[in-house]
Amino acid sequence: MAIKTAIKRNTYFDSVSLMSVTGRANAVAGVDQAMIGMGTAMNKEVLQNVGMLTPEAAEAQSGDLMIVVRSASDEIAEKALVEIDELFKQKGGNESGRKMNYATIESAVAHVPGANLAIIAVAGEFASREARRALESGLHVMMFSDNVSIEDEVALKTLAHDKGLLMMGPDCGTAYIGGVGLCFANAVRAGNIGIVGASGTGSQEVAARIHDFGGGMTQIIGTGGRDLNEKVGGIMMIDGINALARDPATEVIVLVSKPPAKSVQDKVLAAAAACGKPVVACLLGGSEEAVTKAGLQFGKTTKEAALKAVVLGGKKEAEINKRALNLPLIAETRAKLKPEQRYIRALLCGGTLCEEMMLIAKESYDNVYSNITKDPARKLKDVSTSIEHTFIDFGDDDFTRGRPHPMIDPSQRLARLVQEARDPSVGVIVLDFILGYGAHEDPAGVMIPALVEAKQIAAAEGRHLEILGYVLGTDLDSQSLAEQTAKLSEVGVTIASSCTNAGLLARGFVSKEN
Amino acid sequence: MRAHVTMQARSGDGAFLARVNGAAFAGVVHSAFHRAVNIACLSNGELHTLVTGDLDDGPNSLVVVTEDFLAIGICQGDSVRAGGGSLAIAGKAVVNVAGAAVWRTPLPKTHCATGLLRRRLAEAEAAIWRNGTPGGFIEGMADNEVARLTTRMLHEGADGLALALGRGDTDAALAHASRLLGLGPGLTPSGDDFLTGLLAARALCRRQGDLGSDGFARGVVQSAKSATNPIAYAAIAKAARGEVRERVARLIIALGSAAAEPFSPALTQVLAIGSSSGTEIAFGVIRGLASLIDNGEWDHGHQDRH
Amino acid sequence: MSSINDLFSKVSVINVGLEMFKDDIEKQGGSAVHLDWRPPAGGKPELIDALEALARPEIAARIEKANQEAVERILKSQPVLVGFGPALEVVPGMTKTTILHAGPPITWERMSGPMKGAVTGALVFEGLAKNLEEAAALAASGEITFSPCHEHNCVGSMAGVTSASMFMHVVKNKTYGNVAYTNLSEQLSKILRMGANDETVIARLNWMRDVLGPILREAMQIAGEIDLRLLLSQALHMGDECHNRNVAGTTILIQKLAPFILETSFTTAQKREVFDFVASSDYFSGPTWMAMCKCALDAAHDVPHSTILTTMCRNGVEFGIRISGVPGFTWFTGPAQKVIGPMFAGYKPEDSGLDIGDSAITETYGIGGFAMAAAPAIVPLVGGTVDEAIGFSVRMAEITTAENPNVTVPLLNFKGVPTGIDMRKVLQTGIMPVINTAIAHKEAGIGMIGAGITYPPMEAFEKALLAFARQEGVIDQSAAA
Repeated sequence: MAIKTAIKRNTYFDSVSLMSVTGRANAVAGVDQAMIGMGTAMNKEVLQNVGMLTPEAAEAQSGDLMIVVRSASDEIAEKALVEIDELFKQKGGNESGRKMNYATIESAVAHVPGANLAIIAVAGEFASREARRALESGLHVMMFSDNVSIEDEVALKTLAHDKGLLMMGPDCGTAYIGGVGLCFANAVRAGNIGIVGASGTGSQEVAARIHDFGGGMTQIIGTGGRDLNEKVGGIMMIDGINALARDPATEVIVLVSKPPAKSVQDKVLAAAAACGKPVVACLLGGSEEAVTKAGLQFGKTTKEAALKAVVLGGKKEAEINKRALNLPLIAETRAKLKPEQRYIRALLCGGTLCEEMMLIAKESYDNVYSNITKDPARKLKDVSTSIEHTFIDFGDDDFTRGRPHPMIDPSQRLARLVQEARDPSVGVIVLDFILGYGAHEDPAGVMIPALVEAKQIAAAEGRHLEILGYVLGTDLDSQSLAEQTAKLSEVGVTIASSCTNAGLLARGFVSKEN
Repeated sequence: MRAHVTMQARSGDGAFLARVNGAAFAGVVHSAFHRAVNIACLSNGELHTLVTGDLDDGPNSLVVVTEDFLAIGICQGDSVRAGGGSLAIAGKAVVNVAGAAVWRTPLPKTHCATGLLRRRLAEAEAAIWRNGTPGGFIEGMADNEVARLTTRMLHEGADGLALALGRGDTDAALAHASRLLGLGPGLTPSGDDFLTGLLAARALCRRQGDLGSDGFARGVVQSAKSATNPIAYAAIAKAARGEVRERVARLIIALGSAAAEPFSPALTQVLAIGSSSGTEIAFGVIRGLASLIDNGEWDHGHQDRH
Repeated sequence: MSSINDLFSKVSVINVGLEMFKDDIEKQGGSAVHLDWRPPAGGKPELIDALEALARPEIAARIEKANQEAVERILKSQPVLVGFGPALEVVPGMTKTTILHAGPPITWERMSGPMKGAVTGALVFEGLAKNLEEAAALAASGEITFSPCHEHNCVGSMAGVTSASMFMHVVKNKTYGNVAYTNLSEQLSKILRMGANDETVIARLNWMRDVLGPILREAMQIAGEIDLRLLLSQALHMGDECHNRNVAGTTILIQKLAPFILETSFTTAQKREVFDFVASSDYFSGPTWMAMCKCALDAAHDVPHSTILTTMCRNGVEFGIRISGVPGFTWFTGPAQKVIGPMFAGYKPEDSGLDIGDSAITETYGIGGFAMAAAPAIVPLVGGTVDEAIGFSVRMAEITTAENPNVTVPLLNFKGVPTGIDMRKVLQTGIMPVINTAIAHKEAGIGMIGAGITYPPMEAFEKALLAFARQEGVIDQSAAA
């Protein structure tokens, strides 16, 4: 038997806590006997009588608290002492705030007055049920879960629409409601611009640009990635537009999404046109003509959409730092690359960021491959092997089935970075680093070793490897935008100031024309 | 983040209030809990206590209208100064005493007949066994070797003490008492709580109320100073002088009163003190009163003793 | 519509799934509560489908209405003690060679050690066998009829073994007329209900048959009736939860009985024996509350379309439940579970037997583990903290239907105890009814070695749900069990 002691000097705990800890201490794994008491002569006599009076206990004063533990071995006793110490930090007697966790949405609604939004991030097969219960209890819903059938999505959004509630999702990761960022969102200044987005990182990017240009947000409503599908018909996008139209604080509305099916596009643009406020439609890869014909502003890129919104919102264009594309930098970098270094490899976390950069590349190059393109001729057969210009969305199902999102677990990107660095045909590797709520606490930091290694691999083979980084964040995000960009710069990463710029720079770097 | 909090004392020990009003109090927080703060007076080391509004008055205490001292950020080491009719705690909080009601330990006005007292004591003891909290005198089902031994030693000490007091043997009584001081679990060890109850009962109900004439009480206080922690010591020292918190006094009064009031409400209140402290104090009160019967000091006709 | 625009001014979130989302909201000064969510029915698709099917508006409405009726029957029941009598005389279907036992049906061969010990002891007590070996042979011979207490309107604590000569409480439901029974506590140390069966046990049983039982019978003949629900609610106000802690309940029960005991025709010495017997253990009233609960819950059984639990019981091998809407004695079972809690000195978890007894009828009614907040003193004895005890009472509200206005808990601002366990809610939330109970040694005869908390097996609820759904016609009869 081993006996170990811990003494808490001149530390006073109330009796109820002491009783509670004593009871639980005796139940700690490996504890044969535990004694917790003040270091008085009589208590020491008790210890003596049961053979547990250690030298430390013998020295304790009457104002000290003795914790003496007897276990099968020294190791177990030490471990037990650590666990018992934890018990002191936990419940502090009958005054500790009685925080109840409810088990169902209905009981939470019954007990939390004023609850108005449910965030649902459970496995897809349960998500619809929980969302329906939330809607039926009168809650708005934000559904982060995906893997929900389109039929369920239609049913939920119809139910929500009929009840005048928002159904954001499935597959909605970003929202900003009532001044609070929900799930994955950046801290932004309050202002007069509202976003309705069918693309999570797209909404984040536009909001971050707006903030950078000096504007501010009222609300960001997410609709989920599939809202503009024909079957769903843009229910939430239209409801979102109308809600922002009614919101007195919103003076400009921005729509962010990929181009919808034609019938849906018509409906959405018509709703936007009728809403009575200026609308900027950022339909990545979509038709400018249709938008302007509807009387709306077209945002060809996320940057352009943000800029137009900020100006419509009242900022003077001349006063805005538009972060113009650094043409000398493009020339300089082109010169550093060898002729055979012709390809862009974009390894991205943000789906819309990937989409946008890919579109920009496709304006100049035909041989652009991806895991998220609809074009079968350009879809990667094997997502782990790049072909020519390759744009990878690491957040897509291919990479996230059974694994955490790359924003949380960087390991797949790290490995791919090093792989691409070995390929002599690579001219520039593009990486995004997403900050804000829900994101990694140090996205740049975790990539540094791999970045250094990548650069070294290329240098050893006599190549300059251009690594272009884009940090999506604001100066208000907790991860410190400044520190993140500094870390990357230090290891030789070129920093782009926006997703749009990153796409343009990457395209420019590998251009071999004169 | 902590705003300066202002609180009102609803009532307090007369002597403590006088010192605060006279700006004659300076101290340091000795220990802080959710519902109580102990302050060590710099001049004589005596502990003074602030308690939350749901607790009762007691010696050297102020009842403050608040719910949680820890939430205000009060902690060990904070300085405490009296001035301008209030007590300032390290820039974190101020306790106003203006208008606070003055409290003193209530005293028994009548004594019942010995036979009735005996019966009540028997009933009360049975009630404590039924409703008290295990951990000290009462063995709990989850007991272990340490706990069982402690309980046995508590009983041995208490029984020995009762017999010694009954036959007027002060030396033997002190020997037993010294084996109760500091014995048992809890912030105020079980033996100390027992002695607090016993000393308070004897002091409030003896024919001579002056501490000077009770050698036993004097001796216990003397030994207690080094045998236990300051918080338990403070209670014992006050109890020996006939000063004890309101609910304990009420129980002593109810048990010994010539009027036919039931004692169980008062007993329930005392049992609710702390974890098993109330149980131990209650046992002490019972044995203390019994000891007065046993050595002939229970005088049911006598009034105006103080 | 203004609803969305209200959301724009202030968002108050109920977060289901990833707790970090809630933390981030709080960092921004927003309000959020995190749900303690589990996949319904443990994620099993067949059960989820059944739950979904039962949630269809017409079906759900029918169930809600039935549940309301079942719960009303529990709440409106007024069980009163009307007498005591030998089982052979008062218990329906009792015979000289019938042995009733706790829990769902079980054969002699499968019985646990303590129950076998109790059975053989009872057979010797009844004079059907000369010694324990003969008794064992007799038990295995097929001549003894074994039946659950529950199927004879009875309940039995621990092994629950009830035989013809044992005196039973007779508890009548004044509102609905049904009657319930249970035998008498043997009080402390070596007792039949823990599987002990030596001469001291038999001798005590003899005394209970010859002195205790008859005195109580005569006392009740003089008394007429005693309102048990009233005493129960008083006991809860005095720190009992009436399953594991019965200090107050026993005190007020014997206080009620005492004058009548005094007036019986027995000798002073015998009456004194009875008082001493009751005083020897607080547990005396334990069976009384069990019978009271059984009386109320039986009145709520057989309400068509109701998903309310009317029985939870264990025989040391299996845990059985009954659902009001599945009529008669249809049992849904799963394996009996381990009881977790502090043990008396010298005993280890390996020594403990599995959960046993009909005493879970108290939790089924809404007291016992469901009213732990009424008995904070019991908390260290079941290994927890006061906050946890209070938490259990609040948590059980998630799986029940109503509060009992007549049986309240002072510490929770006189909230009524949670009543009407709904099996749909149990499966939906994954929250199991919590049971406070004694830990008995796994070998016959040693007795109680601790006290703690246990839960029913989910399996029993799963079977019940599928059977109910099939019965309601909402899922395919051929769906695999």
